[in-house]
Amino acid sequence: MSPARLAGLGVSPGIAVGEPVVQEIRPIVVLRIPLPVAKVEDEVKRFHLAVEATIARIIENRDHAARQMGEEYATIFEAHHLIAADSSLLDPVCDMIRTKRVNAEWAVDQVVARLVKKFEALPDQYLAERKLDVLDVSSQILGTLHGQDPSKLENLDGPVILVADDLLPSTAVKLPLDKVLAFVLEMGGPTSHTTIIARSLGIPVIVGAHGACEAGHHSRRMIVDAFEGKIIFDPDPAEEAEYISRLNEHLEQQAQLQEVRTLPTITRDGREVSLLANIDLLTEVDEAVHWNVAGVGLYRSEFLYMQRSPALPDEDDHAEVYRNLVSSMGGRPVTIRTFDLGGKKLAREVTGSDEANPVLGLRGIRLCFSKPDFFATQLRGLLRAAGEFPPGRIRIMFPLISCIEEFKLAKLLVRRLTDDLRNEGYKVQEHIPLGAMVEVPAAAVMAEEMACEADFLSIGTNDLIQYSLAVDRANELVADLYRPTSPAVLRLIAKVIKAGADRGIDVAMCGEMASDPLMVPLLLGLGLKRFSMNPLAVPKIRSLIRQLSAKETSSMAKKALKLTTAREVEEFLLEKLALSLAKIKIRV
Amino acid sequence: MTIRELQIINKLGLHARAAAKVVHTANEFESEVFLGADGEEVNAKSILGLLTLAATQGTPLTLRVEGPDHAEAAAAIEALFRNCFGEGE
Repeated sequence: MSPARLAGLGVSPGIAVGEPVVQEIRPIVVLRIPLPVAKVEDEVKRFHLAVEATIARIIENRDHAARQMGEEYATIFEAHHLIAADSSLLDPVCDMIRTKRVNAEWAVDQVVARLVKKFEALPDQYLAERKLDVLDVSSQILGTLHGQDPSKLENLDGPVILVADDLLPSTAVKLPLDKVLAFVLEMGGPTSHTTIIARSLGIPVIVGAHGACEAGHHSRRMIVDAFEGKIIFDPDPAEEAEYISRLNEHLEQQAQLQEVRTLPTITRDGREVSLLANIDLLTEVDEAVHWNVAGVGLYRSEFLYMQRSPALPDEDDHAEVYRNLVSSMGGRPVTIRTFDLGGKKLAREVTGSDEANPVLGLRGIRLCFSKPDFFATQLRGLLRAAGEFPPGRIRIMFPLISCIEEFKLAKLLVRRLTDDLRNEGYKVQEHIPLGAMVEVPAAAVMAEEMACEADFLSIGTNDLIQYSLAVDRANELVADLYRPTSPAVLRLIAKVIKAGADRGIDVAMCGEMASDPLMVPLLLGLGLKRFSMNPLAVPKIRSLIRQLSAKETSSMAKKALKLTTAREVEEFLLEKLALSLAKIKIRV
Repeated sequence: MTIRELQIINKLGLHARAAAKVVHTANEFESEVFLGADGEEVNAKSILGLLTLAATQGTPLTLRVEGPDHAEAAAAIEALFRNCFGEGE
C-alpha cells in the first residue's frame, strides 16, 4: 500500500520526521444511556468528580498561563473556572441525571446545547461568542467523563509530531514544546496562538490538514514538510531517508545562519543595509534582539486592540506598551504604526459597522480620523512614551495615507497634542519623526510631494500590490494575478525609493516583499537601504545581502525596470540570482 | 430582603470580566443574590446567568438580595456597579 498523503498550509517553516501523537479535542459522539434507579446517585457523584477534576485543571492552567505569558492571559481561565462551578450548568445536569435517569455525558450535552442556544440568541455578538467558553469548559468535563487524560500531552516521552484537530489555548500553554518536532493541525490559521508560539521557537507547523487525525491514528511514522505543506504518513524507507537528508541540510543551513547573527549587513562592495523587525506581539522582541536587527521597522499597534478586545486600551496602556517596547529594544529606534484596523482586520468594537467593500472603506488613517478620541488616546500615549526617551527612539507612522492632506492633518494633530501634553507638564519630543506608509498607488505616484512632508516613508507592499493590480490574493479565482514582480508595481516602488533619496529621507519597506530572497537583490539595486521583516527572516536575508554587490544589483535593477511583464521580470531575476541564492541554499 | 434599582454605566455593559466580578462579590455573602432586567431574573452567583442577561450600558437592573446578610451584600454589589466594576469607564 502506498503511503497516505495530505496537504495543508505550512505556517511555520521546517521539516520533521517522527512518530505521530494524535490529540482530538472534539468530543466523541455522546450517546444516551438509560440508568437503573440504583445507579443514579453514583452517576451524579461521577459527574461531580469530573467537575472537580476539571476545575483543578483550569486552576493549574490559569497559574501556568499567568507565569508563562502574564496575568492578561490568565483572565480567560478565571471565567472558565466560574463557568465550571456555575449552578446554571451543574444544577440542570444533576436534575436531568436524576429525573431522566440518563448518563452524565448525555445530560451535559443536552444542558450545554440549551445554554449555547441561549447565547447564540443574544443580540450582542461579543456575548454570543462566549458560547465558545461554555463549549471549552463542557468539552473538558466531557473529556474527563470519557476518561481522556489531557495530561498525556504534558508528559510526552520522546520527540513526537503532534497531530490535532485544533489546539485550545488551555492545551497549548502546557505543552512541553521541547519534545514537539512539529505540529499538524486540522483547523487553525496562520495567526492562531499556537502558530505564533511555534514560529518563535522554530517548530514547523502545518494547518488546515483535514483528515490528519484519522490518518495519524493509523500511522507509526510520518513526515512533515512545512515548506511545501506536505504530510506523508508511514513513508517508505527511501522517501524517509530523502527527507532526513533534507532535514539535515535544513539544520545545517540554520546553523550557518546562526553564524551571521552578529555580522554586519553589508554587501560585498561595502554598502551598508539596515534590517529591521516587523513586530506584532511584545514576545517577538526577543527574537528581533537575538538576530541583531537595527530597530523595529513596523510595530503593528492594532494587536494591542485585538488582545484586549472588547476593552479598549487607555492612554496609560498605550504609553506602557510603547515604553516596554523601546526599553527592550535597547536603544534601537522603534517605528510604531498607529492602529491599522478596518479592512479585513475588523474590530467591531472600533468600526461599529459593516461595510460592503471594507478594503476600500473606513480603514487605516481614515478610521483614525473618524474616531478622534480614540486616535488621540493612542497618540497621547505615544507622545508621552517618546518624551521619556532620547530623541529618535520612537517614530510614528500613519497607515494607508492616500493623499497629502491626510498626512498634513495627522501632523497637525500630533503638534496640537504635543502642545497639550507640554502644557499638562509632560516631557515631550519637540520633533518626533513622523512617517507615511506608502501602500496606496496614489501615494506612490505623489512620492516626491510625500517626501517633502514626511520625515520618512515606508512601503507596504502587500496592500500596494493588491491596490495596484486590483487583486485580492485571498480570492482563489484571481490569486494568480497577484504578482509582486509586476513591472507596474516595481516602477511605483522605484519612484518612492528615488523620491526619498532625492529628498534625503529614509525609505523602508515593511511588506512581505522585503524578505523575499528573489526581490531583495532587486530592491537593493533600486537603492533601498531599510528592509523590515519578520525577525525570523533576518539571518537568511543578511546572508543573502552579504553575497551581493550593490553595483551589480544596481545594473540588474535598471534592466529589470525595462521589462514589460511580471513573468519576464521573474525569469530575469531567477537567472541573474541563481548563483547567489544557491550559495546560501535558498530554494525559490 | 433588600431590593435596589441599579444602572450599568460602564461602556461595555455587563461583559465577561465585569460579570466575573459580580459573581466573586456575590459569592462572598451567604444571601441569595438576584439581578433582573426586562422581566427576567438571574442568579448573580452564576456567570452564565449574568452573561445571558445581555445587559448593555444604560440597562436598568433590579437587584434582589435575600438572606441573613442581605444589606451588606446589596451594598457591595451596588458599589461594584457604581465604580464601573473597577474598570474605570
